[in-house]
Amino acid sequence: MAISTGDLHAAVERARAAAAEAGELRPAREGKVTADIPEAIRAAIREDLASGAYQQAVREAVAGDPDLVQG
Amino acid sequence: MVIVDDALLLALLAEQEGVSEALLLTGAEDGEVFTTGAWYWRLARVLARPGRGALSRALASSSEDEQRRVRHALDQLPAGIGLLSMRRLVPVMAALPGQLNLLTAEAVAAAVVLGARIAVSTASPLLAAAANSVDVIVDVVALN
Repeated sequence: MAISTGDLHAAVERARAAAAEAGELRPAREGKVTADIPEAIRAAIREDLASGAYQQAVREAVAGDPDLVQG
Repeated sequence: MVIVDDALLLALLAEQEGVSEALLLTGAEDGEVFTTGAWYWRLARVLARPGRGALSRALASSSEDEQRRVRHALDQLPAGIGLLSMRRLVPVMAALPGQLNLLTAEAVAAAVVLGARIAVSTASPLLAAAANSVDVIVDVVALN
């Protein structure tokens, strides 16, 4: 059975209304995102992101799992 | 409002210079950043594995208390990052056109429900095509 644009629109409206009622349409806390991480660790994370080490680790971690591939 | 992938989420947690500003250019104000369960799961899977990168080396040279604190901080999605539940999203994912994998369907469905853009760290043609089919904008925010 093909999905029509009308089906999608109706599903979105239902999801939006339910999410609004549950307070999910905004993050639980507003403002800058923070995490309790020492600067040395932050620097290491930034190094891994810039060098491609993180992206390589993702490829290894999701290998064989097509649902987690960002193609 | 913007939905970020796992690498951009990690960059935000690491307070990488320029990332917040780049996301602001996509139209996201403070308090308007979301991610998805699939991207959060990808990040968690990477962090749970022994790695060979700088983060692994830095953790190895840290005290046990510090390692525990860092792992806890990285394991928990900050309250400032929004996440829609699959209870809301699955019916929308099922109504999207095309055969999409879980990661793509969840991201596009969340963007449609939130009226958000998607920001990814690398170009993703399949995600971009799926998003384009329902008029969702995908921005690429480079991390290096």
